[in-house]
Amino acid sequence: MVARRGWLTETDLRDALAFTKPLPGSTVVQVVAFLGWRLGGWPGALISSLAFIFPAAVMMTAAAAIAAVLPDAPWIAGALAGVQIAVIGLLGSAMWKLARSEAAGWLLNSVLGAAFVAGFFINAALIVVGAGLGGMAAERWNSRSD
Amino acid sequence: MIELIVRFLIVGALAFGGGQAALPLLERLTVGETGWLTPRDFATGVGLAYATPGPVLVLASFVGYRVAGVAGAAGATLAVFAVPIALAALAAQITSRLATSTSFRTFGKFAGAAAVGLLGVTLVTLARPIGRVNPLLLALSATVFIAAQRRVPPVGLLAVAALLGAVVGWIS
Repeated sequence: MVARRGWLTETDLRDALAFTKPLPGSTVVQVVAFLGWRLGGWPGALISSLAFIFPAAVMMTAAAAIAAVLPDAPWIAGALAGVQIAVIGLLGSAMWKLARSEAAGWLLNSVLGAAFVAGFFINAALIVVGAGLGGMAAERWNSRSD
Repeated sequence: MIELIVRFLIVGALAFGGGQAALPLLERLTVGETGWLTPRDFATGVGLAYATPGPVLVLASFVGYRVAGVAGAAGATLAVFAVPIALAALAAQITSRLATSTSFRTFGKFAGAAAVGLLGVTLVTLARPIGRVNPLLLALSATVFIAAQRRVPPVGLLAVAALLGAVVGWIS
């Protein structure tokens, strides 16, 4: 849209990335919503992001419907097991990359490790919120002792 | 249905670090804590989410459908994206005091690191049933891990894995 139509500028795109990255949520969708807002306010943000999600959501719903009625044949069970084995590798790779981009330094790495252990016992949402609040407290403590 | 929507609103609101970082939250809140999906169902959904274009979090459509049909799919998908979209639009509107606030950034940084740690729990949840069948199968996961690190596209890896699995299932 920047190159073809001139609706948006490079700066808009840079802003969109910079301002949505720290926010929770799918960054791609948020970039679309951010730019949608710049083009047409709240309706623009809503319409552009829904239009962006809609095709993928329809595809996934259809896929879920198909997956739900798959017959109980051994080759299908095999294929699904294959997918599960591959997904473990893919998520492992995602975790590796995220650990390098999201957890720089020993402090964040220990948060990562602690969350991994706590995750087996405690509600996941509580862990994420707790880590965030703990981080804020640690930073306040740090700036006070300076 | 209300519980489904509330849980997905929470996943969306806590998805610090982006869509992939929210996968463990989604797994914990829909597999680990409720048993709505089996680990295998969840893995199938993640596989499909990787294989289809669009954001990974459309996995919500898959989970929502499993729990409450088409209405569930629509509800879960809207819920998981509602907070992120609203925040992004708000960020555009007020040139984001929130995103530039130091304490909010700190919150996000630590919350994101915790989410990545939770991804480890999700991996264990998915790997346990496979390891019970045959621990050697996890060596294949390691192969996929290495291939993904070398930027082999996920779709290709998933297709090969599904095909191999189907062949093995057919023979045995």
